[in-house]
Amino acid sequence: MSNPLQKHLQNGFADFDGLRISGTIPLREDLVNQLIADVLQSGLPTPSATPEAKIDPNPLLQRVKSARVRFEAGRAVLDFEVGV
Amino acid sequence: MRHLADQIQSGDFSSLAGARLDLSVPIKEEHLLRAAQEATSRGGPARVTGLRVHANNQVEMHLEVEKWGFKQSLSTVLEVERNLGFPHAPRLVLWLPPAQAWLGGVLQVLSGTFGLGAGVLHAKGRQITLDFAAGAPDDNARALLKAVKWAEIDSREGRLILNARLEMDEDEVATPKDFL
Repeated sequence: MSNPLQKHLQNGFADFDGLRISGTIPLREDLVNQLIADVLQSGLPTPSATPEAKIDPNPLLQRVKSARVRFEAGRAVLDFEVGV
Repeated sequence: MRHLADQIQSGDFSSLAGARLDLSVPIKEEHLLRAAQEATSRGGPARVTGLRVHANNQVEMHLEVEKWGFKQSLSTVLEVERNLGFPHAPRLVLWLPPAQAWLGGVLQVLSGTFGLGAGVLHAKGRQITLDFAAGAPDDNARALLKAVKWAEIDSREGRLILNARLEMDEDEVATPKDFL
C-alpha cells in the first residue's frame, strides 16, 4: 500500500506552498555511519525489494534552507530548516 | 537518509529519539474539499458540495443530503477551535452556528455513513468533536500523535494553517515492537 506522504515527498510538497519545518535531531552513531556509507555509495542504485513502497527523501532534501551540525554533551546534533 | 526514511515508514522512530520539530503546514481549501468529499462519497446520504476557508477560523461548508427520497441542500459556517488538545486529548472541535445546533444531532446519526470509525465523531449541541486517537488509520499515525506536544489551527482566506511541535521523547519513542 502506498504511503500518502510519499506522493507529497515525491513532488517536494509542492501542494503545501508556505510549509515550514524546523527542528533539532540528535544524530545517532549508526545513523551517521549509514549516512557516510550512503554518500560513499552515491551514484549506485539502492537495492530494494519493493522500490515503489519506499520513501525517496531527495525531493524534500532539495527544500532544505539551512542545516548545521553541532556537538552537545558528547553527541552530534543536527539543526535544520525546510521551507516550500 | 534513505535508511532513516525507510525506518520511519516502517514505524521505527528510534532514530529520531530526542528530536524536536516545529511545523507550520498550510492546507489549501481545495485539499480540504477533496478530503471532505472523499469522506462523504462512500455511499452515505450526505455529500459535501463546496467548502471555503475564511479568516478567524471560519469554514463555510455546503452539503447535500439525500435519504428516503428526500433531498436537501444545507450551508453552514463552522468555527474551528484553535487548540487541538495535544498532548492529553487530541481532537478537533468544530462549532455550529447557534441557529443550526440541530445539525449536530444529524451529523452524529450520519457519522457512520461518513466512513468514520466508531467513536471518531461526537456531536453535542453546537459542538462537533473529531477524536484523533480513535480516527488514527494505522500504528504510524498513532506513534506520531504520541509525539505531538502542542498543535493549533489558524486560518487565512483559502487555507488552514496547522502549527505544531513534535518531540520524540527518548524514553517513549515508538519502535515496531510497540505495535506487536
